[in-house]
Amino acid sequence: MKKHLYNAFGLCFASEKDLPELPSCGSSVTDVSVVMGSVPDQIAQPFRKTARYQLSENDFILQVAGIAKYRVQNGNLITIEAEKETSENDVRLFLYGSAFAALFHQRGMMPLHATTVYNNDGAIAFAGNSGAGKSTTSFSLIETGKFSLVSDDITILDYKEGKIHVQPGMPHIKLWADVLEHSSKDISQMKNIRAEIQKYRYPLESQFTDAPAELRAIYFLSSQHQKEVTLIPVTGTEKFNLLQNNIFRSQFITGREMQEKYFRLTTAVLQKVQVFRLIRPRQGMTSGEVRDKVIQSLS
Amino acid sequence: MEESKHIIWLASYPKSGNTWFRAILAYLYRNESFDINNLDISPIYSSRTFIENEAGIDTTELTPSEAEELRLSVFEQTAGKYPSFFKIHDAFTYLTGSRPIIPVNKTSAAVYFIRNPLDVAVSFAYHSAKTVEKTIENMGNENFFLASSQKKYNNQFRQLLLNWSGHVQSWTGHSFFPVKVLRYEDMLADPHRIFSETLCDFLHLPFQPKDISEAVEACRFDNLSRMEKEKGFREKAPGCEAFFRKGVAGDYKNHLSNEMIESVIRDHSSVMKQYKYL
Repeated sequence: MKKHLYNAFGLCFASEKDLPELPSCGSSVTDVSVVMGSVPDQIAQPFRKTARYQLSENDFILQVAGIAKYRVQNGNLITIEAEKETSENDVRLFLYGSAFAALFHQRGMMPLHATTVYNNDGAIAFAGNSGAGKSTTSFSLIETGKFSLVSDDITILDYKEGKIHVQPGMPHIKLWADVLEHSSKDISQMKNIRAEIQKYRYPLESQFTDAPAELRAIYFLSSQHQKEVTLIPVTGTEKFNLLQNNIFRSQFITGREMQEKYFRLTTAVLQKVQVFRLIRPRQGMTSGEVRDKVIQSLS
Repeated sequence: MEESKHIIWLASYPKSGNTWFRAILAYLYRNESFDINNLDISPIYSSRTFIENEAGIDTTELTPSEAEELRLSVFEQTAGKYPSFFKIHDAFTYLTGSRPIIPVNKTSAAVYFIRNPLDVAVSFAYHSAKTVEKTIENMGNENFFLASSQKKYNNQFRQLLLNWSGHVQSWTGHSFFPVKVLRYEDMLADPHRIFSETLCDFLHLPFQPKDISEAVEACRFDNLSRMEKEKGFREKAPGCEAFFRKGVAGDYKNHLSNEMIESVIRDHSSVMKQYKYL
């Protein structure tokens, strides 16, 4: 069978399935294989098991009802069993989210729930829960023409020779219709992530950083009942806790050994990058003010 | 109590006394200190957080009906310990195949809070920063949802409320589990008796009369309102000034025109009569 080769998050994927959202690569050294096949309902001796997923140190199964079952093993193999009459697009959507998250955890890559952008001075990451404004804030910076996208929603950090780099992800950013309309984008020409959901993949091939970028700052986003946008520099243990609390799908961490590895990586990251808390009002579209606050903090 | 049936629903149309009851519970079960910004003892059924932890996926990438199916199935398969309180504004409706929207196999009982819809109209309008006219229209709309916008991120699942009368009837007209109806006006008039009857007699929770008296005192409206002024209230809707506004019965007379009153009565007279609001 013909294999498609892709490069994302610092890994080379060889896939039976066409994954058009991932940048293609020429390398013949494969880190991860993506295959179609049957996925069992149970794994051996899971240490965590919920109604929808189970995991052990080197095995993980996720069931997304009506779409597919995903199995991730040994940090190098993803098996997908798609349900009949499911759209390919839907199968890929949950592959790139939760199945990739499980893969990164098995490999000890500590995925952060963050979107990262880059300008000539380095990369800055926006971390936070769903709905915190990671993609919206990043998009408002990219729209100035001075920043490019490194990775949306999942940020993979690489610690080498005393430097922290962010690995490039996929060359698009996912945005809700209200954000795109606020930026006067014509959504009628855009592809939504699923047929019934008004969240879109906004293509950024021409504003994408396809090489690892050195990280200079992380902004942790949240919203509160307040009128102004506030930016607070963070020091000490709060920095550590913020980073640990923003690990993507932390319920998929594969055990104590990985947790200790993440502690060490967190400590290393925090020695190298500045950390801020960025709080916006709950009400209203304040992406312009948030963007200005960020730019001000960089100068 | 059967161990598998661990859930107690705190069900209501918005602005009907649910949060007051939850504050009483938070006080009774407090470990160290009582804080209105920590009512986690009774999370809302529409919160995405719990489901995302259990399901391991981004539920905003599901359609609303997929999300409702997922939520039901996760709740049906998750064990818990009595009493597990859940706040809910959804009407008691059914998914495809006549399955109730909540896990009745895990449900012990429900407390249903009802308040004069004329006062609800004023309070709900203020709370959601909408006009009273629009609120009255929504209360008459059997297809009324909370959090149903498909265009933007929402940290809650959509909630079908039906119209105000339909909401009351949906919760009180089924026979899956016992439902105790509390009138907000009775809670105001005699809180100690109502909370004692509900917590001790109906739900068989191990509280003494003095615990209830202490909780009622600590959660007096002026105390909750003062706490909100001092520290804010995270459950408040973004557009509204204060969650704890007045909390009294009959305030509608100061806000609603005769036409508005007639409109509410026209829409809801039968249920209003049943609960002595007419």
